Amino acid sequence: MSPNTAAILGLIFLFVLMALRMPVSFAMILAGFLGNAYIVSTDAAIYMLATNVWGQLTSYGLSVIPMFVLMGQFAYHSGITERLYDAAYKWVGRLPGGLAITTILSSAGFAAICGSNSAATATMGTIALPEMKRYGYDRALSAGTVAIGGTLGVVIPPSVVLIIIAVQTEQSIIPLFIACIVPGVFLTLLFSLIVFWLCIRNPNLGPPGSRTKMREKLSSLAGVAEAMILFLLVIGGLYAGWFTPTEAGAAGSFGALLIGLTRRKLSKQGFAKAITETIRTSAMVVMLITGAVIFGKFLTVTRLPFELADWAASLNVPREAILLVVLLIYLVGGCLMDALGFLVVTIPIFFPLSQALGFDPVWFAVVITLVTTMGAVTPPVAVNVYIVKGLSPDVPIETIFRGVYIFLVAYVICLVLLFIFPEMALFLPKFLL
Amino acid sequence: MDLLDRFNAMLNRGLAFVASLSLIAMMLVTVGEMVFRMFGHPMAGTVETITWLAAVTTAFALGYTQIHKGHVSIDLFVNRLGPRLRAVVNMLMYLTLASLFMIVTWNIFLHAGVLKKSGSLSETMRVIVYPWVYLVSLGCAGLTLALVADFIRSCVKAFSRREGKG
Amino acid sequence: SSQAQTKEKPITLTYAFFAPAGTFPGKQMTHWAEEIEKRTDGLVKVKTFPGGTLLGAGDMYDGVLRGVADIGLSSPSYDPGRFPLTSGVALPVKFPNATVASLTLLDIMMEFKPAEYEPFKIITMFTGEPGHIQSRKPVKSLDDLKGMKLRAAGTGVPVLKALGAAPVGMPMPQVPESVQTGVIDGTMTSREVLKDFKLAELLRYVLEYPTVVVSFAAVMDKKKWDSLPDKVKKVIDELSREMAIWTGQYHDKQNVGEALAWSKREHNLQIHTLSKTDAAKWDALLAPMVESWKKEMGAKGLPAEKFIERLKQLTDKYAQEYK
Ligand code: NA
Ligand code: NA
Repeated sequence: MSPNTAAILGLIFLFVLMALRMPVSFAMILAGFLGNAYIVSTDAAIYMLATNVWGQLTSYGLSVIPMFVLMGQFAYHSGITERLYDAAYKWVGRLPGGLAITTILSSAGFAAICGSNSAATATMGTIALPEMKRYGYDRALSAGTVAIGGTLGVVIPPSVVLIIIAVQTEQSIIPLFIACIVPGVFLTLLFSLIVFWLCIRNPNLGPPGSRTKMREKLSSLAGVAEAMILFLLVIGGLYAGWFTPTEAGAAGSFGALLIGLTRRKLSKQGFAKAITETIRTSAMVVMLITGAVIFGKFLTVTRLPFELADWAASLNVPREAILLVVLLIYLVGGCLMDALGFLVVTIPIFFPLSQALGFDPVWFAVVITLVTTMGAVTPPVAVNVYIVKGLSPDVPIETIFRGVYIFLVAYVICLVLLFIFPEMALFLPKFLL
Repeated sequence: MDLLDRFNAMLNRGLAFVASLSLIAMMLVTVGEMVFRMFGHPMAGTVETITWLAAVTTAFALGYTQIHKGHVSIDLFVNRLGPRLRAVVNMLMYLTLASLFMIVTWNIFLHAGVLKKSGSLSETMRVIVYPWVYLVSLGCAGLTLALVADFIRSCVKAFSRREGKG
Repeated sequence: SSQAQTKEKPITLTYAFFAPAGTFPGKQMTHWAEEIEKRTDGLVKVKTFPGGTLLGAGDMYDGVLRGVADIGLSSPSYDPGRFPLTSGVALPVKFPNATVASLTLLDIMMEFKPAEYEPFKIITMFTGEPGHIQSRKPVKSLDDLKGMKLRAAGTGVPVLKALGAAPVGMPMPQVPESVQTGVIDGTMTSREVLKDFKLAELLRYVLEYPTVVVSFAAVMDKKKWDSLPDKVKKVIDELSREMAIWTGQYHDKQNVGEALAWSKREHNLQIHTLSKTDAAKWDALLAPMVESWKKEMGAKGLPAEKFIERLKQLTDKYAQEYK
């Protein structure tokens, strides 16, 4: 059996395991482990298994996940998020899908603090899912908005993916960050419009609230104050140089804890619940990523990504066609592997190719960021979707996928526009720097 | 079965409690570092400390998460099978997973031994790392135990005379 | 006849490294792979796995022993406990540049043959250039440095402490945003980061005072090595020293050299030097690090005195050759 055949069989095996209801993270670990045993050796596979579990559990990058989730949990159990959504409901509850749009906008705001896809999804899921459920929002829509909103964590700076791309392509990080602002804001708007459109077509998706008096609206704003204080603390501290984005989660948790304690809204039970929920969510998310990484290493040792990349680089077609093939490969890679793993493997081949073809390096980085980010919601390795599933276990997985797909249209529109108007990404860095 | 269940619940609840303490420690250590740094006294070893605490936080919560069925799975297809067949599928699955995580537990345990023997030290603080590796192995043991309990439960279900019992 | 067949059967070697292919150790890996293929007339094919796609920094050497990769390139500096004698090269011993440090490292390891590399065949060894203070505000004296928050790792931490600065530990990719927002005032690393991470936009001052290096070792499992045909072994052996020089020169001249030229051109980078008396004062502050290392390693029964003595001889010798 050639390594490529092994890669394809490994994927099929992964599908079968998942269909047999094996937890997704464990299925990826098992399929990756057996694949490595076949391609390299059993001894090597056992070693990779043990050290990768240890390695992911001790990864500094992943240590942000427990902290951001804890912030969300403290905010939830001190009622901060409840009052935030109450206010949102009073102001935009009559708008079709008002709360789902609130979730999208909050995700975008949170993305400005947090650079990780999974941390953004886990945090916003913790905050938004119970609130949208409380107001009777459709589960597919709620789950879909959280899962797609989480992808903004990578698109809107700061962003782990952009940092990796910048380092690998020897580009400056700041222009890349700035170049992603317009596409990020544009995606946020499109997501909101999609929610709006869905809810106009079918008002049951986001049942509109009753009319509220201006007085009620204004008094609800007092409830937003805490959320605003927390948000300003984190954003302000970040830009004042008190802490790094990685440390922002801990600062936010501490802030939410203080707010909860001073307002006497965080009970002993609430505190305990926040902690146990956090460790459970963290264990789930970190295992999902460990699985994606181990399975990704298997695909790497088959050298399938390298060969695909070499093949695309050798194509003798117009440069736009090569670029489309490259993007298609990134799309498929995002489906099958942890996005970062795939980028690390393929950028050394594709980036020089894009330069040889004369594409702008910043523009190319923005485009592949968008394409691989979609991978977080495309099966089988759809980390965001599985995180949402973990946070609302009673919602069937196909419901979540159904809820999220429509939003991929926004990504496609954004990509098409980036092709037609590269300035969408390039204008802001040129203007500001 | 009952005894195993109780031991499983007790061990994993205990581990989860330590995970909770570790989580709070992560927050305090990070906030402490910020404060010290603001006053001009950063501690260069904070990054190392945080990663070890993160490892304990997540590893010690693995079994607890499994008991609460918090590890995401897709129930799209299995629900179409009959209860008996489903129990057999579960039995095989839990047996596979218990074996997989036994391998993980044992090999992380061995890895700790290798680090101990080679005298491995952390880069910045120059302190031993292997005790943390033993702790992660213990966390994985908690998960293995939870999976063994799930396996035995599914055996009871698969082999019980009447459906739905056990 | 089976001998004749196996002789012509192509040999594939996998080579893993934890950092991206574009970094100087990554360039070294690619260059080595090309040279091996060329010099064995295509008999040996090397498949490279950069960026930690196969093995990471922490599990590289055991991964090689377990057969995950045939060759692994990592930094012994990341594990001072496992590579005690190599950690002597990471002391403030006044290497002027990467080439001198690389040749010294390789020679001294070949001479002392320390037990820490027992199960391995050393393919090559090299170092980065010594760390330099790169900061937002100029550093011309100990007073300027006092309390300055600088990113450092490994032995850079005690160096900065001894000089009165405040070392901050963080992964390199976090440095640009941390400099941008003011979490840190600069960094003490090799200076290609000025261009690679575009740090020169904010860090406009460099102090020409070389401190400590990070060492790298590419190793192969001994059993794997023994299984290779003699002519392949010969090619690998002759490349060992060539690669140390090649990497040192590439790093010093192209990598760091161009980064400095670019930073001066684009961002008006200023380079300061210490006066003779000041430099002597700084050296005196760092000397105890070497002494305490000698004591620590001597207690373990390692030839620490002889090691440092030889290290200084080699450094002086190569410093004449590679200015
Ligand atoms: Na972000
Ligand atoms: Na995917």
